[in-house]
Amino acid sequence: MDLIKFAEKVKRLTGKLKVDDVEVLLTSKRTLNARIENKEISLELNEAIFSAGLRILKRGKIAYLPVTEPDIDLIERGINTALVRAAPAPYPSFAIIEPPAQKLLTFDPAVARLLDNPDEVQKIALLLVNRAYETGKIETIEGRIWIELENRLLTTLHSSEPAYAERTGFSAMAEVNSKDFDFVGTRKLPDIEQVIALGAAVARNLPATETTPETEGLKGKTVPAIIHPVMLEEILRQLVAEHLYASTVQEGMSKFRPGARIASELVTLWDDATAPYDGNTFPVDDEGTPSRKNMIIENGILKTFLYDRATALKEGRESTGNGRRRPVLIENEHEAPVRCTINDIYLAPGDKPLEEIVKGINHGVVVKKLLGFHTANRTTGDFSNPLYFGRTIRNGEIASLPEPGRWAIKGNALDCLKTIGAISQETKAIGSGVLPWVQMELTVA
Amino acid sequence: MPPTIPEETKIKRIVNQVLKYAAQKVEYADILYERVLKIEMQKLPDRLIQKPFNAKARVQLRLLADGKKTEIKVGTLDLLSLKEAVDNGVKLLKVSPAPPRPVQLAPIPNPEKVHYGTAAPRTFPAAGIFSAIITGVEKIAREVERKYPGVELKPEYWFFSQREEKVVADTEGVFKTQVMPRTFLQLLTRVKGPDGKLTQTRARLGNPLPYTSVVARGKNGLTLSRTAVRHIREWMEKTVELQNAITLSPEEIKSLTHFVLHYTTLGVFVHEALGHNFEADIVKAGSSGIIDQNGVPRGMVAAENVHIMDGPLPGIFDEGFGTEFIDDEGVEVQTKMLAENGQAKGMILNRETAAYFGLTPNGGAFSELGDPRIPRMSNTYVMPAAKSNWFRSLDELIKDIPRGIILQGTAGGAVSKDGMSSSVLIGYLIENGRVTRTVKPANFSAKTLYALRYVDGFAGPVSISDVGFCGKGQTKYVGDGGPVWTRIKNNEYMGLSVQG
Repeated sequence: MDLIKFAEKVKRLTGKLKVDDVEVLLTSKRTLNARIENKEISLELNEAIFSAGLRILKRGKIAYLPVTEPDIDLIERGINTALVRAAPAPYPSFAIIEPPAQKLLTFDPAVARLLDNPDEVQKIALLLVNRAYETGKIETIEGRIWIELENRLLTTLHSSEPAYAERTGFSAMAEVNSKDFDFVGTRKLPDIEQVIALGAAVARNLPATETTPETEGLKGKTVPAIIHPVMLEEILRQLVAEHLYASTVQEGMSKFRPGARIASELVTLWDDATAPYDGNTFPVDDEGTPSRKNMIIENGILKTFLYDRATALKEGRESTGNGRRRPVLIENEHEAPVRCTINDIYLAPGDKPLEEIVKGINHGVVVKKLLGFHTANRTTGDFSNPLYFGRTIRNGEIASLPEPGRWAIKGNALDCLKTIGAISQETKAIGSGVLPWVQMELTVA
Repeated sequence: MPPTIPEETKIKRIVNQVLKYAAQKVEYADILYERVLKIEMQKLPDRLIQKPFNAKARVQLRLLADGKKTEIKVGTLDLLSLKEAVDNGVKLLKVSPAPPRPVQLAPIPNPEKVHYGTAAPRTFPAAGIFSAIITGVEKIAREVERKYPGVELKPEYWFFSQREEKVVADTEGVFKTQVMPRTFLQLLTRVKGPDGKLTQTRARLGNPLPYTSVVARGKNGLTLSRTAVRHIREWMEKTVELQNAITLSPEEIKSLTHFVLHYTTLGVFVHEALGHNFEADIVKAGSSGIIDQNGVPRGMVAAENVHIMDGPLPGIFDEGFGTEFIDDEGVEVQTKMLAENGQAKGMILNRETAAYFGLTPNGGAFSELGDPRIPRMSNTYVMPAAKSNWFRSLDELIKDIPRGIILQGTAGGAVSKDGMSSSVLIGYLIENGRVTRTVKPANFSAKTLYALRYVDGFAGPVSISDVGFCGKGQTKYVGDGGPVWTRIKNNEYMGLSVQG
């Protein structure tokens, strides 16, 4: 559907309803998913998945309206109902969206073409499966190849033109024998050979033996741990970022202070919503502030907190472009509140090859995924979870798989930033940033 | 008499036209249309968000031909969009590889019955409900602050109440509808102590009832219900208690003789450790630790005094956050015996896996608005299989424990093929049959097949009031629970890791 025309309709409606301002976020998605379950591949399609998240200002109050049907009568009824229970607004008007200085890269026609060629997608899935089984090491393989085309628009009543982008998405994932997984995730078509090899590569790299903390003599000990980029992203996004948000700081609940050393001097970290083909790349954030790159930690020193418009206004400064619709728990994006949210996360790579970092560890672990990490304590940064995917390291070499259900890893996300002793040269694009492997200290619980 | 969906005739006309169109092109088609009207409020650290109107709807269309299936999610119940979806689905079927075994769907039992559900409001007095919750929660927080001088309470809360409507229809003439309410309140309490120490808990209330389960009408309009007040106060006070909580070393944990799990901890434990392994799609994929790929149970999964159940409590449809009358394929939801006297027995089935294993569907197929319908838990719980060692009170249950730990609450859990993990919000050390100290939040893990083999006692009635949102690629409302308290002997297959 034509989101630009629909947004104009909504703006005309709100003019008729005599509101002071309106902010309209519209998305329309089409996705194709090839689901892999061992040798079975099923194709699933999502079509015309429309969502609208409106915020309305009237007489100093702000109202919220989420709907999933492009029905202007429904929206009129919704606005009238929402205005009855509007809360005091944090600002008198929404941002006026300026045309972007440059076009950001979010669309790859090669990905969009796949949406109309499901036979090609299923062939890639089939090749991935066959290649994995050829290793002779497959007990089970689960995965998917997922293609998306999203049209996304944000406008406000007084903006002359909307922020608008077509964004493609491609991801592929393979989990082998419930013991390890790998994936690619990007908005640009990756090297298809890399996709086809995903399952086989995971299978070949699985150590043949499993071990327990008791056998290793590591129970209760604090050990060197290599954190995989996937796990690092979880630690940074779920626990560390919470203390970077201006909302947390203004409430007095952040453990960070500006200008303080909060990480090892090896750590230089930024967020970005302008990088080519990354997950959050869009001209503006979800409340119309131009997207940008924010240097957050430079050589271990905290350089800035992250602001949306409401928290920025409280300190008389500008938003850092971090006003995003972040779910509290299970809401869809258009239902979620706009609040301080980190964009795509980047950590500067180090100068050591990963292999060399491993060689420098006498006895430790690789942590790729901790089971149930979403339950970690965002107030304190504490976590304590079973090791789901990982490895043990012995005498500078990858040794064994952790025996399921026998390993737990605990630490504090804020404290362990300070223990980062090495960062790899290699990085991985995780679909919401690019991160290296890091070595830190964690406790085997 | 169950309520009917507004515009049922119009919806039925569109659905039948689409199915008639599909029947010309495929062997079988069915449609699920779901619509939710909800009110919602979120109190975040720095803002209050009130949404007195939130309308969501999606359609799921499934097509079968030549032993293959395809599933299509469509944004709106619009005839043209749906016919286009049928056409695109037919194209997908043509290029889809044939599965190792042809896809079949088991028949829907009781196909003639049309209407299911219970009364659900069509409109909500949002202003009064929101005010009652804001006023009530803040009042309790300030009372707790006065009781414990020097502490600062920062409550965040999330409330919604909704009317859910669904329609299931197929090319063989089935047409079923369900209408029901659902209400949820989550409280996240963060406490800052006098020395700046931070502690946190999360508490939830949720059930398949209207908003009146959380707010009640009093002399001065709507106020928080007594149940809500009691629950909120209890968890705010526990968050303050955590300020002085202790941690336990691996040696101290090893020395514990027993774990005593509150139903809010046991429920997630059972859901994660066992429940997922009974879902028939996981069994079929070879990822269940409990039932092999051919549907043959691997053996004992719990002590003989334990049944593992899923569904509503038998015949009771006003308890359990995951309760529904029919599943998303139109099959009436059964209370399923997953393990009887500790022995794995049943599975949670959708129509496809029921046909695959040669079984009758038992109402376990659910989806998140328009997503594919897959086997899901609804309310998963432990039922004591006998009355022996089933005590009335916690005191009786712990009186013989020399050194143990009570575990209460959860912030969620996760499952792998062989193990599970669930978080625990607060613990209490038991020494010589008495509770002595508060213990910090912890993580509880176990090996699937052995998790509940060491259960040796219970106390209190069975409750399925624990509330969860289960993620399996799509989110589902679930309940879980068991007797108020369950005692488990410490064993090598369970792990506890205390924060701090």
